[in-house]
Amino acid sequence: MERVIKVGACMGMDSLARVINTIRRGKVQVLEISSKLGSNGDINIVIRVRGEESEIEWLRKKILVLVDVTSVEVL
Amino acid sequence: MIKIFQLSVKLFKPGKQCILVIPFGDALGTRGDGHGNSIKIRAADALVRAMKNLGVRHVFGIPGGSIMPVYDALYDAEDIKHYLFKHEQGAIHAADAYGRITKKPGVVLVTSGPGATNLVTGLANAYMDSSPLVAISGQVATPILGRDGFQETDIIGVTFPITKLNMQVRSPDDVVSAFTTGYIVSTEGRPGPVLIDIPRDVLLGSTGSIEPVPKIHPKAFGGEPSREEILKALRLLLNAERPVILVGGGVCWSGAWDDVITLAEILWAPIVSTFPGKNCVPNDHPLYLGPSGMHGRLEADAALANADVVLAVGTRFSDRTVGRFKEMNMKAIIHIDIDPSEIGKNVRTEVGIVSDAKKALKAMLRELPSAIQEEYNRQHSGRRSFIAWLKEIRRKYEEHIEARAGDMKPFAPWKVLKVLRRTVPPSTIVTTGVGSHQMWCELHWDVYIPGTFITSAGLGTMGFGLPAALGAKIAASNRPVMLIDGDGSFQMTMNNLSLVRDYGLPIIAVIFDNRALMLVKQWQIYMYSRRVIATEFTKNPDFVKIAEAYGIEGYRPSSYEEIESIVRRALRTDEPVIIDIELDNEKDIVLPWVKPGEWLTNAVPPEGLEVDLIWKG
Ligand SMILES: Cc1ncc(C[n+]2csc(CCOP(=O)(O)OP(=O)(O)O)c2C)c(N)n1
Ligand SMILES: [Mg+2]
Repeated sequence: MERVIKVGACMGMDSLARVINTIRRGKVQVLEISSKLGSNGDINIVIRVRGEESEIEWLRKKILVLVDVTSVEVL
Repeated sequence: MIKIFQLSVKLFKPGKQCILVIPFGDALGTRGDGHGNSIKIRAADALVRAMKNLGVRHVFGIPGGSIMPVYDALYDAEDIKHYLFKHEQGAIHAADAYGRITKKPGVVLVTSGPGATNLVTGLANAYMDSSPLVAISGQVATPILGRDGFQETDIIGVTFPITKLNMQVRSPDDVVSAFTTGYIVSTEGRPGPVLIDIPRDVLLGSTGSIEPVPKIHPKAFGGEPSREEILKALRLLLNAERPVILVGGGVCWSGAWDDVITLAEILWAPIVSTFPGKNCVPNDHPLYLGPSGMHGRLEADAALANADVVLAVGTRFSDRTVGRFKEMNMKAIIHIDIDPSEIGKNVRTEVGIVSDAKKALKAMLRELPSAIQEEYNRQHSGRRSFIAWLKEIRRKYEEHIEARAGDMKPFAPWKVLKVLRRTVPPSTIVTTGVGSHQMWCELHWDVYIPGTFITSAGLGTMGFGLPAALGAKIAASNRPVMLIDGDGSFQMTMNNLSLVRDYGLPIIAVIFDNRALMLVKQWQIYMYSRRVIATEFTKNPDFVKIAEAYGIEGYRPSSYEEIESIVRRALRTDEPVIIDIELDNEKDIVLPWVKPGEWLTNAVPPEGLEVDLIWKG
C-alpha cells in the first residue's frame, strides 16, 4: 500500500538527515521526499512510501522516537 | 554566595506536561558586572563550568588541536578529573561503562578528524546497549569547515545512525545549551550516546549565554500505563498454563528487579533473561533460569520455548535471545518497553505497554488482588511441575559438565568462572571482552547484585572489556572490578593498561588465553565443515611480561587453587593483577548453542548429554 508520512522536526537539515537515515533502514519503497525549512530550525518533511502496513508502522515509530522529531502522521 | 538554580525541562507528552528538575549548585545565569552590563566569558570556560554544575566529576579523552580550548579550561577546573587514555576507543568504552554504573552520562573529549573517528565503534556500542554518554569532539574552525581542512571530518554525518542525538555548535552562545541538551537527552527515557561537535573558534569565542537552557526538550514516552492494558496483561498471565518472564536490559536501568521477582513469585513464573538482562536480576534467585538464546542455558531455552504466555520487560526481542520469531509469534506476548518503536518490532504482541518497567510492574502488582492469587495458586499447581522439569534439565546439565571437567585441560573455562565467583565479593563489577569467554560468562557467571555485569551485548565489540573495567573502577573505586577477557579481545585495547598505574586503578584482569579467536573458530568447526582459517594465533605475546611492562603483577597459574589464591591476594592488597589462564583451543567449545536461525528447542547440548527440551506435560 501507498502512504504519506508527514514529519515535523526542529533541527533543520540535521533532522532531515536523521529521518532519511531511518527510512533507509526500512523495508519500503520510497517514492518521494520533500521538505520545507523554516528559519528557526523547524522543518516539515513529507515522504511517500509503498510497502507493507507493518513496515510503515515500524518506520512511523522509529521516526517518532528521534529526539528532534516533534510530530509524525501517516496518511 | 552560592545560588541554587533549577533547570526545568518540559517533557513533551500529548495532553500532559511533566517537569524534570535539575538542581544546580552554582550560579550559572548570565553574570553581571554590577553596572547592568553582562560579562562575557570564553565559551570553553562556560562549557567546563556547565559540566561542573551538572555534576560531571570525571572526563575521559585525548587532546588535540581543535579541542585544546576545552583542555585549557579544564586546567583550572579542580573538581573535574581528566583521565588520559591511549586511544579514543578506550576513552569512550570507559565512559560507556561509567555511565552504566553511575547512571549519569560519561563524558568524552576528543579532537577533530582521527580523534573523532576513533569514537565510532564506542558510539555504536553505547547506542546498541542503550548506554548514556556525551562525547564532545573539537572541530576545525568555522571558516575552514567544509573546505577539507587539516583534521576535518564530518563527524556529524558519520555518526547520525549511531547516536541518540548529535549536533554541531556554530555559535559560542549555543555551547552551554548544547551540552545541557546532550547531558539530559542521553539519560532521558531510553538512554543513549550523544555527540556534540564544536569548532575551535566557537570554543574560543566569548559568550554571555551561560544559562543551561536546553536547545530541545526530550520527549517522554510511557507515563502511567493504562489500567485496561494492565488488567488485560494480568488476565493473560493468570490464565496461562506456563507463563514465563523474559527480563531485558531495561529492567536494570529502571531498577525494577524487585518487582520482577515479586511478580514471578506470585505467579510461579520462571524468569529467563536476554544476555544484558542477566545483569538485571539476582542470578541466584530460585526462579531465575538464566539467559536464553544462542549461548543461553538449556533450562532457559526450554522455559521460553514451552511458555504459552511471555511477559517481556525492557527487551528488544533480539534474534540472539529468541532464536526464531516464527515460533515466538505463536505465543501470547505481553511486552513492556519505554521505547514505543520496540513494541511489535520483532514479535507480534498481544499487549504492548509503552512504559518504564518499574511503573508498569508496580501497576501490575497493585492490580493483582490477593483473592485472585490464592484462587490461581490452587488452580495452577501445573506451573510447579513445569518449573520442576526445568530444574531437572539444569541438574542434568550441571552434573554432565562436572563429570567431564577433567577433559578440559589445564582448565575448564566454566570452572574457572565458578572459582572466581566464590572468591570475589558479590559487589564485584565484572566486565568482559567478546567471544567464547564472554559466552562462558553468559552461561556460568552468576550476577548476585544487579548492575554488576558489564558486557558489550548488542554490538559485540572485542576490546570493550579492559577500558570498560577502567571506567567501572573510576565510577566505583571502593568496589573490586574484574575483567574477564579473551586473548584476542585483550590485544585490541591493551594499550590502555597504562592507566592502571597512571591513576591507581587496581583491576583484576583474567585472560582466557586459548591463542585463538575461539568463538569464530567454533563457528568454523560447526558451520563451515572445520575449515579453520585465520582464527588461530601462532604465537601470543607473553601476557605476564606485558603485565610487568606496565608495572603490574602477572601470573600464569597451573591449578584452580592457584587462581583462587592469586585473586584473594590481589583483593587483600588492593593491587592490580593480570592472570593468564591457558586454555586448550581444541576443547574450548561453548555449548549449549542455538545456531543462528534455529529454534530454541534445537539447542546443541554438550557432547554426550541427552535432553529433550520439549515439555510433554
Ligand atoms: C572488533 C571485532 N572484530 C571482530 C569480531 C568478530 N569476533 C567475534 S568473537 C571473536 C573472537 C574473539 O577472540 P577472543 O577475544 O580471544 O575470545 P575467545 O573467543 O577466544 O574466547 C571475533 C573475532 C568482533 N566481535 N569484534
Ligand atoms: Mg581467544
